[in-house]
Amino acid sequence: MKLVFNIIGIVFLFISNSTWCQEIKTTNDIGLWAGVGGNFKLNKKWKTSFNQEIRTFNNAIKIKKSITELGLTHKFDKQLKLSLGVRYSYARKRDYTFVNNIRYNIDIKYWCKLSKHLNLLYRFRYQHSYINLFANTTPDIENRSSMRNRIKLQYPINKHAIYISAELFREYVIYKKPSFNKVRLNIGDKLKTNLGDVKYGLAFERELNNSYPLNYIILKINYSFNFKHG
Amino acid sequence: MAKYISFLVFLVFLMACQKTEGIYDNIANENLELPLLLRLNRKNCVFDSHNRILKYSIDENSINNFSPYVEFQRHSNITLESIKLTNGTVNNFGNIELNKAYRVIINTGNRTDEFTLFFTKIPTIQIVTANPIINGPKTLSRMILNYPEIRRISENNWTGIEQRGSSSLRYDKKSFGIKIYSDKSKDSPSSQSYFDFKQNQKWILDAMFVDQSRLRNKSSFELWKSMSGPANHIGIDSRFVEVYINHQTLGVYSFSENYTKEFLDANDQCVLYAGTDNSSQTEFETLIEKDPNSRFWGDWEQKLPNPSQEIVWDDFEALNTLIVNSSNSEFKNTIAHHIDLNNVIDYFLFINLIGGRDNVGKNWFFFKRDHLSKFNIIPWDMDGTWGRSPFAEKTSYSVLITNNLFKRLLETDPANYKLRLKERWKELRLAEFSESNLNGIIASNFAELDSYKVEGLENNLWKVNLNLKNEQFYMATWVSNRLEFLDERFEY
Repeated sequence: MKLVFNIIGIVFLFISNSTWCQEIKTTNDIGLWAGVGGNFKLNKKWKTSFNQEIRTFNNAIKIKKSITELGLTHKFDKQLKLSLGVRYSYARKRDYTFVNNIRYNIDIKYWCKLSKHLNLLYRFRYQHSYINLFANTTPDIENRSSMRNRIKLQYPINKHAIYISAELFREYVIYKKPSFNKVRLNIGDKLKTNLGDVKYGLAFERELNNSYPLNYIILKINYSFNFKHG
Repeated sequence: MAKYISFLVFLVFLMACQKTEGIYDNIANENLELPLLLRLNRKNCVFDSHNRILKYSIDENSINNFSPYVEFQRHSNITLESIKLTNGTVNNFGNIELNKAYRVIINTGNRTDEFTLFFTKIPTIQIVTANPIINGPKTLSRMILNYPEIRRISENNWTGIEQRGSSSLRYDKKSFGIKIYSDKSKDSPSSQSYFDFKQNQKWILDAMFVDQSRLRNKSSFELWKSMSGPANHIGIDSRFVEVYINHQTLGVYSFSENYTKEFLDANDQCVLYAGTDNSSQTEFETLIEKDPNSRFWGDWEQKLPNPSQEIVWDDFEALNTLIVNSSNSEFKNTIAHHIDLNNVIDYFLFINLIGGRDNVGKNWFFFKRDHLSKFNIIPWDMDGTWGRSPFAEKTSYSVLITNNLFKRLLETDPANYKLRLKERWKELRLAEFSESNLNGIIASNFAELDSYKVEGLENNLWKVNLNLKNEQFYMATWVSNRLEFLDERFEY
């Protein structure tokens, strides 16, 4: 395994293609999203969650964000859930300085069975971010909203739940017209263990409505412990 | 299975590792700022990415032994002709020439890009926006005005920008209306002064696309404002500028003042109405049957007070009724109570001098400070003048421009109107309306445009056939003929 990482490192050194210019726009990149958290089931209807995650970029070697997230989910029935989430992130900006951001999100999740081994999941998310929240002056705090629609096909097999998903992001900012700004495709697996769930997968993100779009591949890995009340 | 997945992940990672691109035609960030390219003395060179041309606005007094403080990206090296520029310090460029093409080489890593830098006297305006500019509502933008004066700091404001005009909207080169904001929320209008103009909230970028000379409106206002005498000559000032939208030049524009409440020093009692079309209503031939009760009354539009807050037509309706419906004796006895005859005389002579056929129905305003004062006429949009129609067709010099207001004034002769008209023409012909003064105003604007190399810029950019020398000759000939014709009409 150590040998594999060494090879990856050497290959990165040679393949990185940097054409520097007036503005240097990254058009291809890879990153790692690694997190650990916990789900606390209060009862049949309510669940809370906690997650701490690190995200990297620039060939996965520079920290992009550190994220702390709290969530609350209400299950209406077997098929419909409503979630609220609050996230604090310490994030790197385009100019490489760091800012403190707060984001909240509201999710509506729908689940249905397509066949014996195939589930369909849909998630609508509205999120609103306050960028650079601790700036000295109000105009420096940037508000950014997004509407996200995700559709996911899940194939449960034994302790695994293999999935593919596609998600479309529509961005709302004050300085430009609302536009679809990103699409994200995922492939991954959720493995149930005795202590919790391991989620791992690959995501491909592409910026939309941009002359020089970023193509971003992300290796995602997350472990969440499951707790039950009582 | 796990081995295959690991290999797949490894392969995908290899294919995806970081790649960057150098970009010159950047998009703006969340504060509508563009990345630095080349800045001299804290003033940016504007950049036309299509033609790879940089332009720097500078006045003639600063071109000898020009030693600016130079700033560019840390990761680049820049050479100007044979001078390797040093970043973050004063560089000596020696004596520079206006409008000469200087070769600029930008080296960044393994990449070399070549550009052409021009030093120019024309002020530049760069509009930075993340959205297309449409015919309303206003698009959020940032407007940066670079003055040629070396010590004058560039203006940088949050603005809203929209296309303006009606028939001119069909042309590729659009005119724009600009409103100043104090921040990007667009909730807080602000005021700003540019050049030596009055502080104002709203400004205009006039494309002047149809005008074969690019100076008819500007010269007309210069003449109108220069007219001495007892009458008010309210008008706008303007300056030629070269406009860029992000990294694309749109050529030469006239950056102009706008009639706003602030510009007119208007109080709550002020009223301002505009003719929006050349019609029998705005030429005072017919009275609009319907009583005025909204922003528009036939082809008239209330501009002040703000029609969204108050609708006021009383005095202007009375003026219309008097001009259209009154008997000759009533008109003769009362018209001077409603409108300032000195102003009307000057407007009539002025519009006739410049051949403003499009300015006695639409493109004129009626302004009144309060109930006790009289209406004054204010001109607007004089692109179709000096021998050309608003569609650039040649017009006759031997046509008197009039409408029912001016006709009735001549017919009824209130307050010695006819004699005053003749006397005023005589007075003006010896001063502001002398052929040498008129040719002087026009020639100085042509000389200014020539010094900015506007003809080549506009012809290349908009695929038109401007010939400023020919147009100047045509205008001078037309003026000479026009004066001869009007001298006869006004018995000079």
